[in-house]
Amino acid sequence: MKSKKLLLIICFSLMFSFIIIEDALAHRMLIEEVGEDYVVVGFDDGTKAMEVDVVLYDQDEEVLLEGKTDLEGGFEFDPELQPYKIVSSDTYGHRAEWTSDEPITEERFPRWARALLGIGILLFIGVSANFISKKKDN
Amino acid sequence: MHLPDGVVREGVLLASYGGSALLYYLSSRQKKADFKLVPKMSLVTAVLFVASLIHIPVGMTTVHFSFVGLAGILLGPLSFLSVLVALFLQLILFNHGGYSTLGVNTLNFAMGALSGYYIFRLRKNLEMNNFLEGVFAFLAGAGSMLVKVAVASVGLYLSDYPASVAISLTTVHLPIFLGEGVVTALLVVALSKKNRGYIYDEE
Repeated sequence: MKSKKLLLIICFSLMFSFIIIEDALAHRMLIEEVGEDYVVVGFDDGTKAMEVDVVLYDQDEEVLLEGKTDLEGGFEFDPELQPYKIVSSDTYGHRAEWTSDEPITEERFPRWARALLGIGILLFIGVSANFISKKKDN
Repeated sequence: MHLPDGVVREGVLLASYGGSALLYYLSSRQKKADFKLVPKMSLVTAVLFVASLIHIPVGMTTVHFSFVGLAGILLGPLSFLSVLVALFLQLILFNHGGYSTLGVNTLNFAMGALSGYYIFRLRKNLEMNNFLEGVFAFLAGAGSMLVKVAVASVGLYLSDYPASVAISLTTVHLPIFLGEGVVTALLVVALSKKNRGYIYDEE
């Protein structure tokens, strides 16, 4: 069958991807932690966002403070500032935002489960289409 | 790279949705998807979906694979739909990119995929052997990434990022250009040896 080998190669690639996917899930910038006088910025693969811009705003969108994170992704500020919104960004187009009325929440499902769900959806579509086209041919 | 919400200006967002719609119109005129092609499209989309989850730390940031060039070689004009679905799934399942920037990200990735297809098509005018086929696949894999980064840079530049964003984005993606080129070349040579129509324009 024409697509059998392609299926095998792609399945092998997907399995190989899963071996390294657990600790290496892409690079969405996140504001990981916000304390009274500090904020920690990182990426969703667990690496810290070093020397990225951090801007603190009040409720009227006025800038309270600007600066850069340190090598641990941390940025300290005066606790009296009490920022309403914190925005971090870098020169590569990554950006994260936090506001005090939207607390940081843990994601409900582990990353590997979401990756598996995505692949499952696509394979389901593929298998269903294959079934329908075979039925049409018959 | 997936541009998140809040990075790109409103005008650029609207233009990118328009550009994506135009690109879809042009690509669907060349080839329409039917049920027989959906299984192959689903598999390639799964590769795109997973590839973007594998990153490499470079300097103070991380970059990821996308294999849009491979998608272009295997699916040709249909790679647009594949890219759109992969990006949508990455958005809803991983929050990669943004709802407002789905258009600009689709345009980046789809331009990359289609350029991979057209670069690889250039071989049609030459006498081919496995080595040359591999060279063209390498150029398609690496070139498609270059186009993707260039389109993203234009979007960022038009959104008040400095012009140097193009240089910094290209520099951090150099390992990806090389990696995608090599993997695309190896896969395409392996698939075309079978000569069973896995490659889009050999169907």
